[in-house]
Amino acid sequence: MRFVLRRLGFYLLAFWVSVTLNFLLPRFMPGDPVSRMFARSQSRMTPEQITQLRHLFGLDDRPLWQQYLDYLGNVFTGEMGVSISRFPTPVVEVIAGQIGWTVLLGGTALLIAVVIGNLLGILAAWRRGGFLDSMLPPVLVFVGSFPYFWLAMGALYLFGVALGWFPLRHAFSAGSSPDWTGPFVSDVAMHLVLPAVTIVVVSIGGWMLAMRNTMIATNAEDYIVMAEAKGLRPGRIMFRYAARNAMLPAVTSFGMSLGFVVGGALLTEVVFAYPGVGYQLLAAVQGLDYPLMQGIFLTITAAVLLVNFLVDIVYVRLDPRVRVS
Amino acid sequence: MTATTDHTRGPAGGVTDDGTPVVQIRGLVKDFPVGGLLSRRTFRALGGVDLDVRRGEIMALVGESGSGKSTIARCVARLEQPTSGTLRVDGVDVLKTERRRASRVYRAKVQIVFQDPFGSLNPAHRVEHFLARALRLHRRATSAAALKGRLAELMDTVDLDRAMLDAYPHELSGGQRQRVAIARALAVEPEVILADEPTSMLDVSVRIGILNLMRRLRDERGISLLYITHDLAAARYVADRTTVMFAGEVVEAGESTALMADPAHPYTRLLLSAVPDPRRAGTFDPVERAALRAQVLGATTCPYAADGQCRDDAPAHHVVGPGWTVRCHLYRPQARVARRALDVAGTASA
Amino acid sequence: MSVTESTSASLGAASGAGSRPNAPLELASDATAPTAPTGPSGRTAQRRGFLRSLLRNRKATVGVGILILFGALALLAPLLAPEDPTVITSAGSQAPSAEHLLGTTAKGQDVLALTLWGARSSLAVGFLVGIAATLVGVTVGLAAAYFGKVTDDVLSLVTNVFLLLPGLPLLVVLAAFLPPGTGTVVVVLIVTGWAGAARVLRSLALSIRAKDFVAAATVTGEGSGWIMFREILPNMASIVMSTFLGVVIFGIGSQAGLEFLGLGDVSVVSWGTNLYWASNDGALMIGAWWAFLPSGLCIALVAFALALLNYAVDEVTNPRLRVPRRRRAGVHAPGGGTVVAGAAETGTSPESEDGHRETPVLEVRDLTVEYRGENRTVVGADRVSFTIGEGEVFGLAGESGCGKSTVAHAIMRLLREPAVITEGSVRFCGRDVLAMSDDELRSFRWRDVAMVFQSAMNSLNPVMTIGDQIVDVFTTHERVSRTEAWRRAGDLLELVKIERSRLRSYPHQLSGGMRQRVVIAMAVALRPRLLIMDEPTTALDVVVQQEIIAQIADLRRELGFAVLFITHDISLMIELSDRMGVMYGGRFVESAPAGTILTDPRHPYTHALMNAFPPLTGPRTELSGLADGVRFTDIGDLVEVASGHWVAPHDEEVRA
Repeated sequence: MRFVLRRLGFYLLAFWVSVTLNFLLPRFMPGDPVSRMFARSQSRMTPEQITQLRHLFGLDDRPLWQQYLDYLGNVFTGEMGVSISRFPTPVVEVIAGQIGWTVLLGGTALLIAVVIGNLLGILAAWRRGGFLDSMLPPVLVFVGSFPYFWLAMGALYLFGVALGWFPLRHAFSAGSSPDWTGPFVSDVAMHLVLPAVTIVVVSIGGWMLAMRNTMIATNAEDYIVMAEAKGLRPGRIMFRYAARNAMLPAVTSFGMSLGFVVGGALLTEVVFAYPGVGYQLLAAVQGLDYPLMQGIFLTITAAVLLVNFLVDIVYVRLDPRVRVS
Repeated sequence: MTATTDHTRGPAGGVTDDGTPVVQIRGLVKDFPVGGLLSRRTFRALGGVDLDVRRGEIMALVGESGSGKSTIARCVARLEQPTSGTLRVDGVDVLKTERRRASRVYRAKVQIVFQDPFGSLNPAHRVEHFLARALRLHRRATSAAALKGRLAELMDTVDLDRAMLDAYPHELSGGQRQRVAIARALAVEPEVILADEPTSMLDVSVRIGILNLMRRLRDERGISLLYITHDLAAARYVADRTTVMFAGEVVEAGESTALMADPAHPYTRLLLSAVPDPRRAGTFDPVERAALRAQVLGATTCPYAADGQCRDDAPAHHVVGPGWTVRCHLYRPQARVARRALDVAGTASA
Repeated sequence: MSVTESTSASLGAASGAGSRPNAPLELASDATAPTAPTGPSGRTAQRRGFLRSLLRNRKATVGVGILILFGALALLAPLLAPEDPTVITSAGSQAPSAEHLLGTTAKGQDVLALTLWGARSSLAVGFLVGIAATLVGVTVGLAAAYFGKVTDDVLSLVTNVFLLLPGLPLLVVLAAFLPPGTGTVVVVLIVTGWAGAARVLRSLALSIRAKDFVAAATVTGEGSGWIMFREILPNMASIVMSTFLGVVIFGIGSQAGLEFLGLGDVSVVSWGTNLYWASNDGALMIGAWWAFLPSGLCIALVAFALALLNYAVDEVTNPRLRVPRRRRAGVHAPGGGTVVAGAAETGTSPESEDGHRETPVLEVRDLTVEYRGENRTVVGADRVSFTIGEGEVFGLAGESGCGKSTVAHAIMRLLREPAVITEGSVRFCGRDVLAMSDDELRSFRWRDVAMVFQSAMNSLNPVMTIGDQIVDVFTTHERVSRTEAWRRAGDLLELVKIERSRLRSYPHQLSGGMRQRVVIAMAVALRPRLLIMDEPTTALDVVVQQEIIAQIADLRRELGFAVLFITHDISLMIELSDRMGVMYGGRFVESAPAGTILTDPRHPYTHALMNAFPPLTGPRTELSGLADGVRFTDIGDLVEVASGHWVAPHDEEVRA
């Protein structure tokens, strides 16, 4: 319990850092980016909206500390202003409409990559010198060396443009409206295949190699020898004794690598014009939509921190040694 | 061999022996913080230790793991800052005069040899480096020729081939590495060497060689050693006096052979009874051991624990013989009767 | 014995994992050493040796080759493609031809020239970011580790926070606020990339900081700067290198990503901007794959080369990670033990004519175990023969690396590659253990012979309750329900005087002595006829050791099993065993009833072992051990010098 509380405190601190970063960036960056934004979009706004935005970006004359306190208050009440590129929709609404797609894409890809990658790693370490151990890792390392977006474009070209097997862009076909009917769900699934496979292919090698290396270390532990001496079946030794212990570092690195997966998903979304927050983030940057950009960054950060916290809770369940200390 | 201490030779520093111990520890307390950044909890590793190392003697400090014996060595080596207490070296209260960091003058007086010769020699350097750095830092060799001579001399002292100066630590055996570590300590010409379990990581067949080297350093150079070990037999073999520690406290101290022939404190007796020694087989019967164990480890069965004396009133050191003290209420003058009762219960005494 | 083959194979490290018998570790290292080391742990990787082994690694060679190639291309770009690559040279979107080897872009620029010039910017940014971020990482890591306390708390907190912030979104936001340009990209990549390096290097520096050689340098009187940079830093070389490689990969990849998104300076020629323009011009939509392929492939190849190099560094620092070559002769199945086909009973040994009345519980004859490395073979056990009678305690004494654990593991066929049983036989109650099938072997293990390992902490699975670990034994070997198995597990704990309720405890919740009791309870769960105890009390304090020994004696009285007792503590062994053997360099040098060894040891090595344990009574006399570097070689077969007392011929004592 102490452990969980300590971690919670840490994540709150990390979140506070990113909020503060968000607060400081527009105020201290050279070239006054915010003024540029106003110059471009002022004409479309009502006076109140302008005031609110000036408020948000510190263009009024209040002292810095007061701006900061107001900013913190706004963030925690979900008050992030209105989007400029999708004027006058509030930032929160824009994000709410798109985060689902990102969760779908990132979650699916992550789940598949983690499960398959770890399984491959376990098997490779168990049968040293076999095919999985000797041939697969170099191949996966090579594939994993390609930039996400490049592989995504390659897949798009090959399977979308040249072969025409999968749709080229977006999360569902134009003209259909989201509902839970069979045709729509399969349409979404078809749109999901290429982006998800890209992410899986690039990231799976990392999972596999990490698991393989920890498994190799674990296999040399005394308790594995002891389990062998006890005459247990190989399957039981492999999963209950070896993999169960090798999983612990994997769980920790899962949280750590989440940020990278989010980054990869962002690039993949851009290539496939997948309507998630990553795609929207780029659109916001291009449209100088600072409120939306900041909102998305905070949302992604909060999500990553939240998942990390959940991972910590899972870790406590998995490793009895943490529970006491 | 002779077990007597050579008092006539002064140590290398030229200080004559006026009877003051080289190292005098009084009421040494060390608390370690437990928990994270904001935690205020502490763990008491040393609970007020008194200990003397006299000039030209080997003092053995024995105890089990976690008894705090290594912490004492690290405090005296100034690797840990004691929480309270005094530490006098050559009569100087060093915790007062050099509050934060030990001075180089202090380093030239007190050296340490660590338990693990695989960890105490930096794998990135050659043997020569360890010795030459010590010689240069402490200006024990100013010219290149003098340095060369001193290096050779040091290697001879610890019985190592001079050719090994060019070797890396991983090219040496455990025993050889430990000799290098001892040579490094000797290079600064110290008065005291703290030897923290110097043989426990070595192969058994070369251990005695290191112990004999320690004896030679004492006999031929008058160096004082604080020999920390869990091995009572080795302590008896090499040390003039032995101090027994238990749970961060000194429970008994005295001349080694006398102390081990007739240990006074229940814990010392328990410890001795546990040492396998085929030549002594059958001396300790299980019933007596169980009684001792209960007495020491389960405080509730201590005849004095019932009235809470050990808890309310920390026992003092009682003198039971010349230079021999024990810290247990059983040895209070008015408690001799109870002690005799215990002696009847277990007819120990080899 | 023959261990003097040349070449310093990394064989030792490859086999020296965990509690595996580590005979060859010491044997293997004697080729590099002026004298024979027989220390308890493996060798630390050396810097010079590290670079040499790195260059011998195939992955590293390929990686370095690719990097040199790209480095050369980048440097020579002005020579190979002298014109400004952005200049429009001909019609747009031409397919590769003799004139334009890689075709032209939609605007009509030469793709080859763009790719060559792009290497300059991409590699420069990548390596610049790598160097800067690694420097920050090293500084933070060293400072945190060396100064500790508050410095460390603050630095590691900042590092962890930065590590958690999602990199690319942060990059995007930072890049959006900063004026566009390559400088911005570099700064932004350093800001987001240093934390990973710092985290790895801090934990490494912390572990080195805790080493005794740092304390030793302090006591010698070295200052902080010296200790940080001359004592700690040199030992971080390999990890600093792999961290650096990792950051370079991150740098090149992220730069490409940023530029692809149009967040860099799109007028600069780099692989990332090439891809940005290819995508912007819709190259793929019109099938102009040549505009898109080269730059991506270059990024991938460089990243692949760096990754290969990185894995090579990992493999050299931790040779276990290397993919083992499969051996045709040996049968290798996980947990099946390795026996060379055709290992047969050959030769005779003195022990076999010992004249035991009934079939012995265990009969080991001419057992030979080899550790087969890539370059050479080391003998771990050399024609070892002994028998253990019903209910007898047989001691196997010797120091680390003498082969006693190898013998113990061979009896249960627990040896793993590269250890191979090449000769001899192991018979348990007349059954040939080396000939057993996998299934037979599994049921033989624990039911007939059980084993107690040196460290109870390490031999218990840390994430399973001890109850579950005992139940595993029952459910595997006997058809019992879980409830029944759990009840019997409780009985077992009570047998070794631990409360039943402890079944639900995890190993770390028990004291060292208690854990070893649990392991002993587990060992007698199926009432085996033989218990192998491999240094069961070495890690324990004497008082606890005494109790464990007493516990074993009690159980033996009750259950009547035979014991193969292994230790280096010869006085403990003499107290405990009926007969004993002394091993050195894989061979028996002496074998006799324990009392005979006490009163009449014949071999000089036995003498040396005995002298390591001075007596607790009687006068103090000067004892002598084995001088450092003294070795016995070519140990002959045992000769019977008295009834039941066998000694190896020992006239020569060789100083190496």
